[in-house]
Amino acid sequence: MVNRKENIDLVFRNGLKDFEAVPPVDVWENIKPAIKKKAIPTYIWKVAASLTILLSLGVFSYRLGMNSAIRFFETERASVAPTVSETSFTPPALAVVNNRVAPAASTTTNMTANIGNFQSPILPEDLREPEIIGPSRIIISTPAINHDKSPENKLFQGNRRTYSIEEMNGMLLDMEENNITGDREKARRWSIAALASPTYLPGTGVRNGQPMLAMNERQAISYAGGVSFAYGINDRISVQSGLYYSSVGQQISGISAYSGFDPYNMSKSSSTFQVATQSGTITTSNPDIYLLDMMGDRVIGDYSAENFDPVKSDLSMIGTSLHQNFRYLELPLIVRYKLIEGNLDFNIIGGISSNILIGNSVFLNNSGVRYDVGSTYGLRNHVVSSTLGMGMEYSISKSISLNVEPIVRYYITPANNSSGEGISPFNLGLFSGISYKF
Amino acid sequence: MTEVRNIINGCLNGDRSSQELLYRRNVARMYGVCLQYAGNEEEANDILQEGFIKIFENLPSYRFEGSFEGWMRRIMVNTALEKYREKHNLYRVDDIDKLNEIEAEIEVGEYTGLEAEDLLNMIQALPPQYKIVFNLFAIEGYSHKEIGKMLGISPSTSKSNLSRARDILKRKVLRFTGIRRVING
Repeated sequence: MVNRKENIDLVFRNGLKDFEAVPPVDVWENIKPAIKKKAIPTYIWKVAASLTILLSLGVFSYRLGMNSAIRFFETERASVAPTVSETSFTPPALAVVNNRVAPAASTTTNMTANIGNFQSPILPEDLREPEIIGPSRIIISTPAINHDKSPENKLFQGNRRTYSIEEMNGMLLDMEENNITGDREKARRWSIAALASPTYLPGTGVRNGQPMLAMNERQAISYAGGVSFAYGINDRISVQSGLYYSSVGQQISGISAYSGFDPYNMSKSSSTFQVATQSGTITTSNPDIYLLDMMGDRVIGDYSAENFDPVKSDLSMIGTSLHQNFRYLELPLIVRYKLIEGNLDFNIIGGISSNILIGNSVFLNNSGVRYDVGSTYGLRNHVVSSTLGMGMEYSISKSISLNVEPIVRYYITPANNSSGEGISPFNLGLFSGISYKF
Repeated sequence: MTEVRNIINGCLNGDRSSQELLYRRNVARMYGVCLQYAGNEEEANDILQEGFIKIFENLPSYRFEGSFEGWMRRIMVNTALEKYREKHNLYRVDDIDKLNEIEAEIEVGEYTGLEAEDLLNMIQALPPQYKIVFNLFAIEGYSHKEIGKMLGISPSTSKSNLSRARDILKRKVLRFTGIRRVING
């Protein structure tokens, strides 16, 4: 009975196993436009979205900075305006010559003399409404910032203080110096920095990753470093670029590797073994290496445990894990927004980077001896990543700062071309280094 | 395998000629699959078209593990299932014992004279609910539990649909071979 049922199944299975038929020609014509539309790589949208976010952040930051500046000036104006309006300010009898204050005349009678460029808005608050009370003494009335006359707000209430001409000259000299220094600081828009970082890949992070593969893969030591330069658009926003070198990788465990396989290797294909990993398929290029998966069936090739025994063939075991390594040159475009300004500045960092693959190797180490095994198939030569982080900048002097920047990097385009998967798309780094402003 | 890889990589890069090459190389086999699941050529064309669009869309998720043809075939079958779900509901047959089965013993050898097109015609003529279960079980090798999950029916319903399909097919085959015997003398 069972056989009979299976027979009818077999008849149809065998009969239709290789069945082929020619479809109408117009099917392909209908498919073409659909896949053309779909063929636009999704990473383009991702890059566009990232740029939009960055641009929005930049505009928002800029507006925030502008608003702060406007509020600052409005506050300043508010603090000055009432005083000016309420006080009938009579230009004091001071002559300013080369930023030096001197009585305009030997007597107090010439009080309407030339004030020159001595204008109230550029004066410190306590320099307004000066009164000449003698050839060498001036009384300055501190203007009231607001109309609150409560005792608690005494600090902002008007006050009177007497200055000597020498003190006035000293204050003006300070002002002059401050102005010059300010100009110098404004001029320091460029900076160059050298930074380095260990990087960490949290978990596998691989999309559609296979748990069996993930179990036997762990991150190898990864690092990044390089030189960057930045240009300050204004006091808060700067744009940064540069050149970084980064090396990421992982260790594949549970793979037995033997050397001395060359005499037995009759494989006609260019690659004797392929090893499935989450980052892509490793293809061997060293004919002397024999690989055997101890944990499952990740190793595919012409030779397996069924048709070749490495122990009987006297091959030398040289390791039980493979190292996958990928090296990139990174060209970042980063926008920094200064959140807090002081001796220790805090910056928000965001941007995208263009990563060019410059190295792709698979190797194993045996007591310090490195054996090259092959490479990972299908890695993209160009990968786009986005960066988001926080920068802390401690000023040692006006030109030199120490930087610490914890950042998160996300690979917008998958690192592997062929499988659609990638090396962990997330990457954490703690960059530290030194920067010089000029 | 390397050539297939190159074609796939070309498709992933949006290369039009690689896409066309992939289509041309596999379309005949895939169309055969579509015809097994479809009721007519028009339906098969729809499945083929949608299936290939899905193949191109899902190409980045292909991991080069297992046969590429098998991967494409699964997509075609899934597309056929989606089409089927849109149009039909499976009949529930809960009591398998009531089925009127054919008792005649039939050997595989008796069917050897059948051409693939004859078999395809027989499958295509099956009621949709029987056809899909028979295809999934007998041709694709899925279990009743898996088929139940795919179609949203119980395994026993799947079994009963399969049993019906087998009965109908056996009748057709016997009739066909009988006619042939008469013709051939």
